[in-house]
Amino acid sequence: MSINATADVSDQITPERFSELALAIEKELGRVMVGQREVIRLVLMAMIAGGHVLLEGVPGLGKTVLVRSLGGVLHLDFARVQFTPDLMPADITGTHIVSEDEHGRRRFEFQAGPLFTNLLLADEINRATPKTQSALLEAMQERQVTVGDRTRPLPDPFFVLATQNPIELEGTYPLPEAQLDRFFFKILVQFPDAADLAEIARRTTGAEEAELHTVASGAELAQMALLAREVPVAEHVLERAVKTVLATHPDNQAAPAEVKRYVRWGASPRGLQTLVLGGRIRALLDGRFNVALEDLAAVAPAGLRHRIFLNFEADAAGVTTDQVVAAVVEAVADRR
Amino acid sequence: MTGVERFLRRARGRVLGERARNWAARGLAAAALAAAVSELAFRRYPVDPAWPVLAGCVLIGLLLGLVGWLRAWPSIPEVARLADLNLGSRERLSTALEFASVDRYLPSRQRLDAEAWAALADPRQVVPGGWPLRTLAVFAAAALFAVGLSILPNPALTALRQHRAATAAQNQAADQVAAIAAKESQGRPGEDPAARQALVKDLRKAEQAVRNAPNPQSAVAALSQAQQDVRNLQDPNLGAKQQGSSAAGQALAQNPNPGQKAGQALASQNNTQAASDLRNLASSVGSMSQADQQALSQSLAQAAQAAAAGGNPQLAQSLKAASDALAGGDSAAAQAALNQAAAQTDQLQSGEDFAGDTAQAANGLQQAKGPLEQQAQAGQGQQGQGQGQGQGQGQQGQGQGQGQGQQGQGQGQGQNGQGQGQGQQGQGQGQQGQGQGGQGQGGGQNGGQTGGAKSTEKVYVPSQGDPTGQGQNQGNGQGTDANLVPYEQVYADYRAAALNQVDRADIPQSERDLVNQYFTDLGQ
Repeated sequence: MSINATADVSDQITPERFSELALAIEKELGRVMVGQREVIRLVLMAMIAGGHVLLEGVPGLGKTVLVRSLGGVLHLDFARVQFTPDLMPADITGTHIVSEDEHGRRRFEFQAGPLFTNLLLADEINRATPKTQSALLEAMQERQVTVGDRTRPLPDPFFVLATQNPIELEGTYPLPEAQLDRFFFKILVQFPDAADLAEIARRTTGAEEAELHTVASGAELAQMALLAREVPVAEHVLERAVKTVLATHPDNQAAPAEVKRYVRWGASPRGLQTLVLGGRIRALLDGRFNVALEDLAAVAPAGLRHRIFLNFEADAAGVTTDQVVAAVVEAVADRR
Repeated sequence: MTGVERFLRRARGRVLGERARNWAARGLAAAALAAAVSELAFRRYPVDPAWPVLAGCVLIGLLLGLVGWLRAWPSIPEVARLADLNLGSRERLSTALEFASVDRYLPSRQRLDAEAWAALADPRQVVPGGWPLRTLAVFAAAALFAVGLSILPNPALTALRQHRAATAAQNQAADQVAAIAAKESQGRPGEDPAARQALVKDLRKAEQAVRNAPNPQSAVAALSQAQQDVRNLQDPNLGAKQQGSSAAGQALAQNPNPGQKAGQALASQNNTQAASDLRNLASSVGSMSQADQQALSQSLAQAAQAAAAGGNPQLAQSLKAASDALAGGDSAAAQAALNQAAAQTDQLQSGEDFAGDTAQAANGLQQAKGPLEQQAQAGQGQQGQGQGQGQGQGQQGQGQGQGQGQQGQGQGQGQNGQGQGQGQQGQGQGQQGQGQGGQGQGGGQNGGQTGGAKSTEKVYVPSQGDPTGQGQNQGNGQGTDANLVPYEQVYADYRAAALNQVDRADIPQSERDLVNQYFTDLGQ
């Protein structure tokens, strides 16, 4: 758990307050983000879970606006890094520079990079070289940065919201599996429909600009996370989550035909954690106090699509991971 | 007990009811399917009676239903999961049940939430009501199929029953033959033990043949053969001897003489009395007057001539010797000759007794054949149905063919364009008719060729025919079977029938012998 909160949360936040905060955050974000309610909901869930998010969508869909707005709504520090092929690790982690004090003595001083923030927008993360991408690994998993011989903790909370463009893949560096696995959700940002487009035009071309209000703090986010972790999960629901993850592996007996045919490698244990934790948060957001099977199914696409790696045959057949995940969910469903 | 638990217990009753219906339907379907499969199997492997198997199918089905229902007995957690699934409670009930004893904030809230939900839920909706119609449809279809099969005629079952009846008839006949053999094994004093042993041996052999016969036809044939063998044991000259003896007696009784009494006994074929009288006469010869001796000598000479003429040369010789001795005054020689004549009369009586025994045995065999013949005819009707073509229209079809064993299942081929049938004991018509009956497979090849008779070749003769020549061929090309039966069988049957008819006390032995001789000659 990345959010540092040790108090007995139930004394401080109730499920009703949880829902209230979540609704307030979503509502506030909805003032600047037209449509994309599902994206907002998933991003919020990932942040409550303390996880990072990979947003995939074409340019201009409001990904950056969303992240920036989150910083404002949650009263969190926000930094943005535009990833490019010439971006170096030190450009995001920080580096030692020579500085001179008031006595004229020179010394190396650590200049923190943009990683040292609460909310980092890694824009077009797949355009950076693997070397730079891997600089994020430690930050995302350990929430600390090691530069030289010293390890520095990152601010709490720390979220990475990365974006990547599914088109213009030339000159990009696909994220390695290890790094993909560190994202709690991979969210596909869909192109808005006609009504939303019209609303976007109205809001962004007028004289008035929406003013965001802070509706929650990082501490409240931490309390929400602790409360979510108390949501009871029935044994058979947990078993369903396990079965779902196992069924993404082609060598598993219960795997559906799509997995056996198209999947090269299935979801990791982090996928299981994502299903259960995401299910807990979704239950609370839905006003329930227990995880339902449908919570797992609802969370599965965002939680597993980037943890399932397809083979060449799937590429040739145009099969997507979402189709595979849907097949898995269908296969493990209890039809009694 | 919490509200959730109360709700789940009520729901469990519904689940049990629903599963009881399901498993009852499955049990019925299984029973019907098993019965249908059994009925199908009975077509190839008949079982009689079949009801225990069908009852077993029903029992298995019901047992399956009961065991399945018991095994499917739902636990409360299972009911909770079912309720969650079917009522859309989103795992509220199962989670509340599982975390019932967890004393923490959110689990407590969850239990309250579940109870509130359960209070509004209807436990009857936990499982869908009604009967499993698809399973019941399977049951109905399988049951109809099974009932239909049981109603339709089952040739295999008919054959089985026929076989059993035939076996029973064979065993009954064999038992009858065994009883006859046991009875005939008790010999008579003075008879030839070898003949008695041969009689018993033939009967025992017939018993085994009947018991081991593959079918009633073979058993009938074996009995017919046994009848013939038994009758062959009779002395073929017995009739002549009796005739000669009777003639001698009549000659002896004509004139008053001391031997008149013995002559009367001989004439009436009371051989035992005659032998006794002859012995008495022999013992009194020495005390007779000369005149009586001469009168007796003359009567004995006439009797000897009559005996010789009647066909009993041995008796004639003894009587002649006695006559000659008396004429020569040799009382001792006369006494010895008369005693010899008495012994020959005893032998004649023994021969008659043995002949009676053989006739009785033959009659017994004939009686034993009755049920077997009925079975054989039933089998023939069964086998011959729809097989022959019956195109025989020629005159007196004298077919030759290839028989296959004694059941007459070979195919004969007529030489005169006759229909061919096979089999023994055909009931078809000879002469001009179209054959019918029999059990063969009529070929109906007009002008067919004799296709190379094999070692099993038999000679057939027309059976008793309908003088009108109207066959019973149904005109649809079916039903003709053989109108020819093996000669040996016809001969044996005719002989047995004839001997039965004449085997009566009011028919003189000589006439009986005549009939017997006729068939003996015919058999040769």
